[in-house]
Amino acid sequence: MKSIIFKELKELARDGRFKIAMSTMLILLIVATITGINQYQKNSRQYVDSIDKERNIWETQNEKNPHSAAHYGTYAFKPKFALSLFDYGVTKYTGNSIFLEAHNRNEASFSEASDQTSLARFGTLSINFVLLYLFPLIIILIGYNSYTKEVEHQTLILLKSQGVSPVKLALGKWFATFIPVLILTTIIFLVIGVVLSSLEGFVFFSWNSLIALFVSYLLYYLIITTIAILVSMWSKSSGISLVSNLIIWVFFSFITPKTATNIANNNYPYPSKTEFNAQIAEDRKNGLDGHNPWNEAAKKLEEETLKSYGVDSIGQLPFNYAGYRMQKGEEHEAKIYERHYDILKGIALKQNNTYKSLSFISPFIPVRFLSMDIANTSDNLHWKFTNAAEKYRVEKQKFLNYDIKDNSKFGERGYKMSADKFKKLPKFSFSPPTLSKVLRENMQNFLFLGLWLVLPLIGFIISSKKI
Amino acid sequence: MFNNNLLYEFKLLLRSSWLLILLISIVSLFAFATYNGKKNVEKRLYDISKMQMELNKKDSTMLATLTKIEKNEKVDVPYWQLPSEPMTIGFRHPRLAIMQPEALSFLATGQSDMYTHFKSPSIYGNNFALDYSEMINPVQLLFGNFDLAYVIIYILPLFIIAFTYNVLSKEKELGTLQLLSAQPISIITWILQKMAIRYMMFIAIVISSLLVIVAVFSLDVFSNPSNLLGLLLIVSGYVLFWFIVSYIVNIKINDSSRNALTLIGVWLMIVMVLPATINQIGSSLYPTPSRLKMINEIRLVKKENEKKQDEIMNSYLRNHPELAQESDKEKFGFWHKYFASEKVMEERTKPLLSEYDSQLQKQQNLISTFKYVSPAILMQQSLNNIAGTSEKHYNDYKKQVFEFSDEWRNYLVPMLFKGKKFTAKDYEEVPNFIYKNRIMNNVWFNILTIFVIGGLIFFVFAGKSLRTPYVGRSL
Repeated sequence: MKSIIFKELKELARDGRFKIAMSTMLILLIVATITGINQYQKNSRQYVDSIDKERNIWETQNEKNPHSAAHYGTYAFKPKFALSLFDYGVTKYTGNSIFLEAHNRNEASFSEASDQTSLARFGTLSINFVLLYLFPLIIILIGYNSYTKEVEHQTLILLKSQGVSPVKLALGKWFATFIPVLILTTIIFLVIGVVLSSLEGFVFFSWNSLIALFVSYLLYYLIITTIAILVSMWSKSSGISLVSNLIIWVFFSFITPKTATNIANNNYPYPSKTEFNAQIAEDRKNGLDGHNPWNEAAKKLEEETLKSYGVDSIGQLPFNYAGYRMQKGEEHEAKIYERHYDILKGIALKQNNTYKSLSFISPFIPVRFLSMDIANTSDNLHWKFTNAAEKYRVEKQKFLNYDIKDNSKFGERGYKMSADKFKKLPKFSFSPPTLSKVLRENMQNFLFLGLWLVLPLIGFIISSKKI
Repeated sequence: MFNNNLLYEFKLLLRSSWLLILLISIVSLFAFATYNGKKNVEKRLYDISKMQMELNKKDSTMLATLTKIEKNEKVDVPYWQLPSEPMTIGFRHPRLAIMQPEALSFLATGQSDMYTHFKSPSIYGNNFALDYSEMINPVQLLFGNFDLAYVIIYILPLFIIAFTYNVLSKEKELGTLQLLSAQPISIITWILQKMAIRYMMFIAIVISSLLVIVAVFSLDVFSNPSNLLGLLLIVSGYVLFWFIVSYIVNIKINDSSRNALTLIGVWLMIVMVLPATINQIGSSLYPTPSRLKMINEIRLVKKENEKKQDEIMNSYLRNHPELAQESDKEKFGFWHKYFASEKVMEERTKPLLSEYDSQLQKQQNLISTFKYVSPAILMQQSLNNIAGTSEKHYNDYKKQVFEFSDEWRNYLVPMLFKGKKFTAKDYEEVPNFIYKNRIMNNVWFNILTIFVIGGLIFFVFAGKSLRTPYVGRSL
């Protein structure tokens, strides 16, 4: 088997097409890395700068009524993670800043894609673009004629007559196709790791995450290698093998995910933003309104509060009831938002499951989801960020409303919170989930990749015996 | 000779069942993609109709209340929500500014999955800074749709490659090339004729399938024949471009397997690598102005202006004008102050936003000049333009909504200051928004461009071969 591997690798090293394809790929990787680093550093600087400026604006407010400050609001900015340089994921399609104000839960606004031309829809040259879309083509290029060339050169009969075990021959071809890919992928990941860990300003970088990405991509490459050689085994000529492999590649990487988009959209449509907001407004109409003491729910809260403190009127309460009601209203509204966002998240999950359930016809899908989840650029992470921002918003309202509750007097008009108190509001911070959590959430994707690896491999061994 | 060639080509393709495979594949792909596109448009129309129904319901309640008020009957609406007040109409009953789909919108999803198609600009608030993004699962945007534009731009070239990669090399490999050389026709003329015949067959299949499928799914398309003709011509131009590329590879390389690999390489470059690289390098060299920086600047302006606004109006009422419990006498003063305080902010933030928009416009214009680098980009932009789903269409829609919000305000504010009540009769005359597609789709220019690009490539790479009757180095 060693000699088979050695012979194949030697042939590959002499192949001009392989050299051209490899150099093109490397140039693209270098361009992707350099432009990626530039953009990352620029965005990261802007992120740090914006946080500082926004905090400064918040802290240097003049004394004012806490509720006015709540309307004035703050921004939560989504941090940039080191591996976003590797895989942009959905970051271009989600906003990076959320305005946190009284009464309303806002969506993350200003996605990069909405500011770009439709050219952006062709995709962006990133490291994972090369590794996920183009690298499988290198495998196909190496493996498409591994068997057909023996048939075409009529050397297969020679090999057989020498008593070479068909399984060993197949495995030899398999290793010979995979070894160059393994070496290249290892070098690329090592370089990325060294670059990311040595450059300044790359936060949340971990070698473990990079290794997890490395393993995921290798699994995918193993699958493509098996399929490429299997197709070569079954094909009558190199041309047919090449075309069939390419059809499979187009089917895996483009047709299936795009078809999944349409299926998901037809079966689990998202509501329009206006409709979503209208439903929330409808629920809010009948709920507790912090501004309106005559509202039915507000009256009920008043009765309950008076009862629990054993007093007759809100003036007798040991705190200013207006601030308390305001906070209760805020919490009530936050719950309504939470309920509606949970429904939305449910739809998103069903849509994502539509993609994932098509993993059985395309191993590209599980590796695509895995890659962006590990790189912290997935929609999953975006949900975590928006939930953290919402939690912080409610806490912030509490900080401000309780200042009214505890420090102003009942019926006091024109109460103002002192300017230095703004500094005491805790800062917003967001950390990504740990790698082990991400991996646990992605067990299904690993399972699909595992199945994709094992089943074709069995077919490969069985077919090799029939050659 | 041409007739012989034509007949032979027909027989060859029919017997190899190539034409049948091509026809079935193209029809099914077109049908599936058109179905998907139509579903997207249906969802858009459904969302619009829901909003429209909601508005009609609200309007009829409002009209019933107005009639009661006019008849001096008792109404159970709080007095700050009375529809007889122009401000209530302006805030609580804004009109719907709808962007209706075009007849060919199903052709290309374009930017339609990212933006909303209806907006209700109210009488107060920042109508110049409305958010037009639509709620969507970002994963959907990442993977994109399987629409007709996708089939035309990405998949048709693959069919062309499979259909033509070995036109000449096959003769060589079968050993019939020598026989052909003995015929009274130059090989170049022969292969040109062969390619031209295949092009005509291919384009006939593509155009007839497209017409049939479009007719099945959407007859409206035929109401705008010039757009449809534009579509058919630009597709013909794009297909021709790929035939020219294949012709060049056929005569330059002349080896089936190498031909196929080279053509796939060119395909990868044109539809994937070049657009993605241009997108990445373009946004590195000409970045979109930073939204975060814009937010910071606006926040700073807001902070600086707060005091000025406070002098005009208390911040509480500014944040909740709908809660202002004013008497009729005070009303004039309240709203006057409100608009004055809002104007202070608008005057300072609007230039910032306009500057941002103009920077963004410049950046987008710059990036769109790259379309000439790859015919795939040119095609994508042309198809989006024909479908009315390009970024230009959405930018113009935003502009139209803003213009309408001014019209809405200018209609109601004078009523307020004249102390006029809003009546059921006024309802008949309220301004309504009608979306106009004001974007020149440049389809004819793009058609010309794509034919010129094809022609140029042909003459640069294959021009010499027309003069010297020898083919390929391996002949």
